[in-house]
Amino acid sequence: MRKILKLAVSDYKRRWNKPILILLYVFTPVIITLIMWMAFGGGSGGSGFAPLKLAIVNNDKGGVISDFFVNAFSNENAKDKIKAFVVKEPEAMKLINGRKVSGVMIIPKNFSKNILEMRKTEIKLIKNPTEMIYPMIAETGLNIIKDGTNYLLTIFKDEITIIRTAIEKKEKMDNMTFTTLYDKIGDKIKKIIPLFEEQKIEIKDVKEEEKKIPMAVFYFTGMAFFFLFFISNAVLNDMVKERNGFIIKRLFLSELKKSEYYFARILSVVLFMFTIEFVLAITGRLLFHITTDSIFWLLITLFLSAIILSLLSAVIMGLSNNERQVHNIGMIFVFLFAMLGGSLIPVSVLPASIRKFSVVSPLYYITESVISLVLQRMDKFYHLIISTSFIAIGLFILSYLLNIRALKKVVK
Amino acid sequence: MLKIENIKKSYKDIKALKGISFDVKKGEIFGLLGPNGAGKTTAISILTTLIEPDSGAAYYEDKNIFNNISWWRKKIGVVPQETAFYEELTARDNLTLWGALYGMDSKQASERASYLLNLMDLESKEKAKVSEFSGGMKRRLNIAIGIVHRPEVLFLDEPTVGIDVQARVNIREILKKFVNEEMSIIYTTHQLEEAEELCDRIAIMDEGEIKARGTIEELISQLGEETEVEFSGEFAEDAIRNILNNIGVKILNFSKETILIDVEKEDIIPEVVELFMKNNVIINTMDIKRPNLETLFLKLTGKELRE
Repeated sequence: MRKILKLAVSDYKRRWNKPILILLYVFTPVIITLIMWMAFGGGSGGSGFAPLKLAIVNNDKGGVISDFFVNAFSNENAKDKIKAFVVKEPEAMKLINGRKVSGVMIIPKNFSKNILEMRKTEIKLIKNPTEMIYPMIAETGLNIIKDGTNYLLTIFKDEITIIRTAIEKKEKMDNMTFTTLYDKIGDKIKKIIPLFEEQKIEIKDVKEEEKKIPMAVFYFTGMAFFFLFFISNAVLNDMVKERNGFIIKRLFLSELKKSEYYFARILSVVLFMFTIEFVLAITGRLLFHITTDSIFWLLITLFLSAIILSLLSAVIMGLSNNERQVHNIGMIFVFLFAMLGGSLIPVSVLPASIRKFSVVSPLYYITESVISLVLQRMDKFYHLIISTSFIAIGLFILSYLLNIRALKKVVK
Repeated sequence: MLKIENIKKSYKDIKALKGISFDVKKGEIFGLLGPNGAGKTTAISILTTLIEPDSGAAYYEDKNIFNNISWWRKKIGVVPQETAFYEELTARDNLTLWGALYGMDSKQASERASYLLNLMDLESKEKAKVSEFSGGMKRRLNIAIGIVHRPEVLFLDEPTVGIDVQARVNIREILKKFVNEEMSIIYTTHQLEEAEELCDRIAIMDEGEIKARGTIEELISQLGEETEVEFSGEFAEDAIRNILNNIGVKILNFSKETILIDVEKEDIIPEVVELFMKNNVIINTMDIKRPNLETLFLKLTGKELRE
């Protein structure tokens, strides 16, 4: 035991040999999270997202319904969210080709007339191919207005037909017809107006502070584990370097056993990773207000995640014969596990067919554990912690066997 | 005493060791002298149990070391060709670490580290990281780690290779102090002067075989060669032949500018010089060529022994 501790302490000391490099690794997730946080709502002021820029070409000027569509996108209340440019078609095409707007909405000639005559008509939407989210928002907004218009047209179908027929025949309506029509429209409007005046369904916006925390928790936790995995690989790379030099032979010519060597290495890396995680946890609390009431469980989670990352790297070292292989195998493991485990993209955003593979990534368990703990979803947290413990045991056995086998190849 | 008997080792078709045998007495420095590729490092690797021999045996205190690996490893110290320690730690940290790995407690390891830092002239740098050390200092630390646990047999595999002359001389001076450590040393080198200066006995190795072994004097006497003296100056053949024939000195080579003579005993050289001067023979330079390890090595292997 004394030999293990002495070797582990020496290793731990050695780990801090390049503090600048470690600081760089540690604070990269902090910087990325800060950028994400500021870009998506964490910054001071504003709604977070820049307004959607939309060019509108109205070829049906003066039409009742086309004006309604234009106003829906360009009214004062929506100016924070949508910046609409009502322009001619050539200018609109210049804007979209220059990638200056997220989309172009073209309302065709006789749009309102066609609708009132119950003929099918269409609005063109040209989406900016270099953007992903904004054109989707524009399309969704347009769909909502389209559905609303269709709904109103269905409700007032009979009345519109009577009015349209009268206009077409250039007939004057007699008082009786006009009064009946007026009453019908009035009745329907009376029924509809309360729906708008006294809203039964309200969208309640959650407080800004509450919105920011889950996002920072996700980005910070995910990015931190992604970079920590890189660090543990870089640190444990020593095991492979040593195997190819005389130092390992010298170590085993002493009274050190292979299992003691393995335990010492893992112990030193776990302690090192735990220290860095601890620093990151404090940074997360200070910068992004990421905190939890359960400090005990936070420490347990950090320690378990340090074990998982160290053992994952130890598996990579056990599979590699040289530093080049460490790099190659490490890259595959880091990116695959980070992608599946929700370190780079939230698991919920992944396609369902890929999402089911998240459970094979150990990073999934440690990332979700921290997020669950911070968001106080304790039921989920306990399940994750138990799973993480079992994964740690499995990784320990696997990495032990692989590394002892690799060591036996070098020294009898 | 360490006794090595007919050890053989092959790598595929290459016979690295073709059956080497020698013995190393307690407290002596035994040199394995040979060019690169002679099989010295393979021999050391086998004797330190890092690789297995194909056949043969080695005994220490009447125990076959290959059947008692753990026991034997505690008895030996190894100083490899390449430095093997942690450059990110200090010299003291390295020494106490290896002390602990050999089962010393903290106090013992610390005391031993202090002694070795002093022995190796590294005291002034004990708190500096090894990465800041010069090549010579690193070599000295490499040696110190090899003896931190007071081994009974020390294997030094070309400990001075790749360092400058001054550092090399420095290490040789330090190795002479090892007399106090009371251990047997097996020292591989391809530096003749190192072998001559440090080793009590040597074995000359080439192509996986031991070509000759014994003390340096014994080996040179096996050569049966006499000292040669080369003069440069202005020489008249008849006069010179008369002078040298009278005192029974054989001329090996003659020209008007140089003559090479063979002398059985070196005490005749002053007499030759005196006679030349009496007969007004002009001598510019004189070079005495004694038979040495290099001559012996050249004769045994047909190769020059140079780094």
